[in-house]
Amino acid sequence: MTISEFIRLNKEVLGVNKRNEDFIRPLNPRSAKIIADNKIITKRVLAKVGINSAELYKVVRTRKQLQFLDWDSLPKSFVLKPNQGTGGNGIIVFYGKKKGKYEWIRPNGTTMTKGDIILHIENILDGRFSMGNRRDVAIIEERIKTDSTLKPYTYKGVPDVRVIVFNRIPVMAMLRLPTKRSNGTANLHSGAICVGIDIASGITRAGMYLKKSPIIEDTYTNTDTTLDLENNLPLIGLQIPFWNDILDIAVKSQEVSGLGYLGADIAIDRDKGPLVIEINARPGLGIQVANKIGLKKRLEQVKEIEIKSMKHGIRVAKNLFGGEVEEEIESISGKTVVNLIEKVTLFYKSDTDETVSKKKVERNKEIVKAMLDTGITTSRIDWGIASRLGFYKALDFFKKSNVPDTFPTLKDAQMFIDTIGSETLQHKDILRLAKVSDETGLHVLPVVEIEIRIAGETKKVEMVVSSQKAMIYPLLIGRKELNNYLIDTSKTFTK
Amino acid sequence: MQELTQWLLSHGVSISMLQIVVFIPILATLVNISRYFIGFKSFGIYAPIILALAYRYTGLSYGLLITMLVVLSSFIGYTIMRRIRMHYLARVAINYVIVSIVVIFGIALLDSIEILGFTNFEAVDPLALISIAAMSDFFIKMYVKKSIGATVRVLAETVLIAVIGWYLISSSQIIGYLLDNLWMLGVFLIVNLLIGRFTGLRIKEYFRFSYIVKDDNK
Repeated sequence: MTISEFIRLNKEVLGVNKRNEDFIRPLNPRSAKIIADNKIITKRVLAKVGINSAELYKVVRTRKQLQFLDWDSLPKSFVLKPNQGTGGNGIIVFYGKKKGKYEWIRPNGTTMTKGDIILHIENILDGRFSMGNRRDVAIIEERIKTDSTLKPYTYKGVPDVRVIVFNRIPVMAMLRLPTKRSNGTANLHSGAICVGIDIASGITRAGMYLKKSPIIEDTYTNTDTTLDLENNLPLIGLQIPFWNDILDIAVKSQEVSGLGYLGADIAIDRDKGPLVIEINARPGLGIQVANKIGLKKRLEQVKEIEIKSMKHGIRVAKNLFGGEVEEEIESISGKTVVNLIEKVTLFYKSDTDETVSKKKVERNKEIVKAMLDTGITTSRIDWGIASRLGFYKALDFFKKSNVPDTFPTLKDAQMFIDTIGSETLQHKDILRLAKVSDETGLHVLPVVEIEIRIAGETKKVEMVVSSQKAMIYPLLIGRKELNNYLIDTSKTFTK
Repeated sequence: MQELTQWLLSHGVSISMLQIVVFIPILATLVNISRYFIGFKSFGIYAPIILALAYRYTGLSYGLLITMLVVLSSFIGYTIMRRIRMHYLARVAINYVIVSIVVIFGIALLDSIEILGFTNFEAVDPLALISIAAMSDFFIKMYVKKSIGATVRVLAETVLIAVIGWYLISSSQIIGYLLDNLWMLGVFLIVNLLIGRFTGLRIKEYFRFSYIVKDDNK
């Protein structure tokens, strides 16, 4: 480690001491910790503000209750958990039930009989899995069915998204993927993969996991793909589904729980969408390694900001912490990341005819909002703007040529272009004629070449001049021009 | 300051009592430093203190040997019992029975192999032996929840702290100085207070998080 690395570590990374002294102790009061440490209370508190969690089927508080448990009313698949368990200990998932028997099937194919389950519940009641071995309560709840986007990345269990929230701002997030080694749990210490997530877009960054080493603890190894699966998939660039909902839920959980600094664990159910698995009053620090960014720096950045609402908090997070992923994707793919709606500069026609005086060195330009539309091949521009850009003569000429407004079939349109169009519609600014179909019918329209600047790049683009009045954006950039871009649909402007 | 020591000795405090009372702050401070400054995880603060004190009465080699016997027997006993489904406390009780049997016969066996040189088990203080046997409980309680790797790591760190502690309290210079200068106990108080307010990174965390600041992707 160099001296500069040492200084950076001290400046940027949050250690256990500081987390406990400056965040958990002063910000997470006992009353709030009680909520977070108790899964039943967590569910109740979250439900009050409309946040979903896995449905609670049964609660077993005493041996007496266990004796009278109605086994027939249990669904085929469920999860058995200690109410105050830590680190995923004592959780057993059941995928199905053997027909006609009191025997349930676990993800690894083994079964547990009613007797085995009773014993496990007794262990839970005895406090074997709870903090400080206190007596505990067993809960039986719905098994979350993994969302189809994340399923191919997961070995058996349920992946989840951990979001650290502080001062109503989602500060950092990671995706945790169960692996064969972690035995289907999303616990980092058992060997699950964790993947950093860009807060602004919900797109994953790089993945890593804890090295299996009995002597040296907490040594991380990078991985670009999932592990132990039949089809290992790349971990970078995955869009987390329901991203904005997940951030909303995380911030809301902080507000309602009373925890000043929390880690919300959110899974995505196939049918129900995002569900909170648990909220943590003492979230771990491994998330910094997954994101390769120190938490201390981020926490200090947002400490003093006065957050007015949940939306405000999320906006601040997206503005402050977002964007790293774009640079990374650019460096991997060589493509520039652009937004769905970009501001594009249009230059006035340059060949100086009578309208533009030669003295004008700086060319006139106009900035418009353009939609990057992968549904069309050639770009389209609004008639009025094209006129302003210096094509008014060409367009006037086109208008006077009595081109029919609509054509009944594509064949007719093509025939018109091939015959009359190519013979009579000759103007130096009109490159060719194009067939365009929209809700009002099939049209033949002129194509001109316009110089534009998009995402810092200036180029000449062929555009169909559209007479349609209903264009929401005056400029649509078509597929022909989008070869070198990746479109990020989550944002609308670069700046 | 020797007057204070003299005064205590003449008022019902025995010299061995005074020694132990001085040992405890040293060991407690050591555990405190190890945890918050270095990042060693021990089985709480009680285990390393008791272990270090026990080593002082058994001698280090005998003490470590008994520790190994206790841990090994708990580990083997628990691993076998893991397959049998039973109540949690029953499991812990059986574990104690196994530990007792293994330790007694282990001592007899080691004593009979003369080449090893451990022929002086009679001199081992039985109370110290029990204190070491208590490690079994700490070990099992963690092993139930965490992996064997994590448990052994914490055990190793606990023993390491205990050995350093044993070294400190066995040094007649350190103890002699402290007995003559009891005001030093106030220094321990301040040191612990400072560590209690320490919010910097632990030494182990520099290694754990070094990856974050490494410039390898640019």
